[in-house]
Amino acid sequence: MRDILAVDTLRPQKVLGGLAGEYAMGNAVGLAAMVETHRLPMQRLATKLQDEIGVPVSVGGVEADMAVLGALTTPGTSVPLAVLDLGGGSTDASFLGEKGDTRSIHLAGAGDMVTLLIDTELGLENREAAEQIKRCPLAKVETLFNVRHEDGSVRFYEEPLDPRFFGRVVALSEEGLVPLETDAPLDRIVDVRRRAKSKVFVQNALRALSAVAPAGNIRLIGFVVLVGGSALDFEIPRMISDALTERGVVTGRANVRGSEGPRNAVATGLVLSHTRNGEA
Amino acid sequence: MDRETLFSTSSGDRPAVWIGVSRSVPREWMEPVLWGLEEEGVPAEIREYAEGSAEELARREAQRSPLEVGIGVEGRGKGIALYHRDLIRFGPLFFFEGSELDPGGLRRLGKNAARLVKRQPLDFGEECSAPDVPAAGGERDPERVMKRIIAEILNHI
Repeated sequence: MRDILAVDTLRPQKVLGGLAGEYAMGNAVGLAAMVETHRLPMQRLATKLQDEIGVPVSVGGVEADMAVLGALTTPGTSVPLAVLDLGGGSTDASFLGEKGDTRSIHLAGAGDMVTLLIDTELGLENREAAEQIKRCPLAKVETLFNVRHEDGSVRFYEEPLDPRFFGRVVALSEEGLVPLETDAPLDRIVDVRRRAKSKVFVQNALRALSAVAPAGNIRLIGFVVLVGGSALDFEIPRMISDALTERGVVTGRANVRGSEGPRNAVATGLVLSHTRNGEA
Repeated sequence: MDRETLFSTSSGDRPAVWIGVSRSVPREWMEPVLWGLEEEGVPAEIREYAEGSAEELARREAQRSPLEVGIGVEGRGKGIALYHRDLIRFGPLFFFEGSELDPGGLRRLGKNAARLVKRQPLDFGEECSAPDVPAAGGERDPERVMKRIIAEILNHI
């Protein structure tokens, strides 16, 4: 076990003897753990893949170091630089100094944990719904012809909305409106979502950057680049940026190879590392 | 201001869902609809007509109801429709006939008429539950995970 993150949260619990399905909010703790991985399963995967495609496949590279290499392909970046990789399972940070010195750390607690906290606190018992809430802005269907977004703005439709959406909170996904089964009001769902993201990502960002910063002082970092799937989220980068601005650090989203945005940093880094080192 | 003066004395202005019923429909048959409305706390008023299809009646009642919701019931319990004034150009929100007209369905229609007024989510009966998330346990097997990863990579090459 290399790292554990514990987060206080709340969970709806049925009241014993209740006649109308009453529930009360009870305390709960969410846990994320980082476990040492063995090389063996990865090596087996590499061997199997090599057999399938006939191209040499090798395991190598420390993820955080590769993320830095990939992030540096963002136009306008240079060392010294800190990279924050916001993934699904872990939050990683690395610092690359002017003299090429590096420090990196991998922490437990990331996107999956945010989903867990949302799922738990709203009593959804539905991971998919929790994912929708995490990823998408929300709106309330007010009439058969309009929704009100969480920011208060109103959107009208030419055709009547599906009656299954009526009166419900919906997630505005790429595939269209997704109705949520929960009875919780819009404001509460938004609050749960933001607090979950803050408790996991803001806390871990500060924790990780402190660990890799020169002299353990975040203020000495200067510039942080965000990579990873969760760096695409519509509010997480702003939350982290706000927290870091208080410490005099500028935050930006990576644009790997000038085209990929915050994604693909590690993959790009692996390729670059391989070509530079001329490994066989 | 007490409750009496809050709402106009004329019954035509009282906030209520208007139900247009063809005269040949027995009152007992209609009761579940009224129970549904009462359960949700929304008043309703019934008006009898000599003729009219469920849709026509519902449409007219919705246009006149102060709460913008109308229900129409066709002769001999042949059909029932629920209309909202906003839908005049489009069609009834719900229309049921034949076997769907059991007391449970009628009560649900009454409930939904009330929920339409109150802007609360509608009741669709036993259907409409969230799709089950596939159990995560099946993916723990390393061999299967590996096969999936390789298959995914081959898809992209």
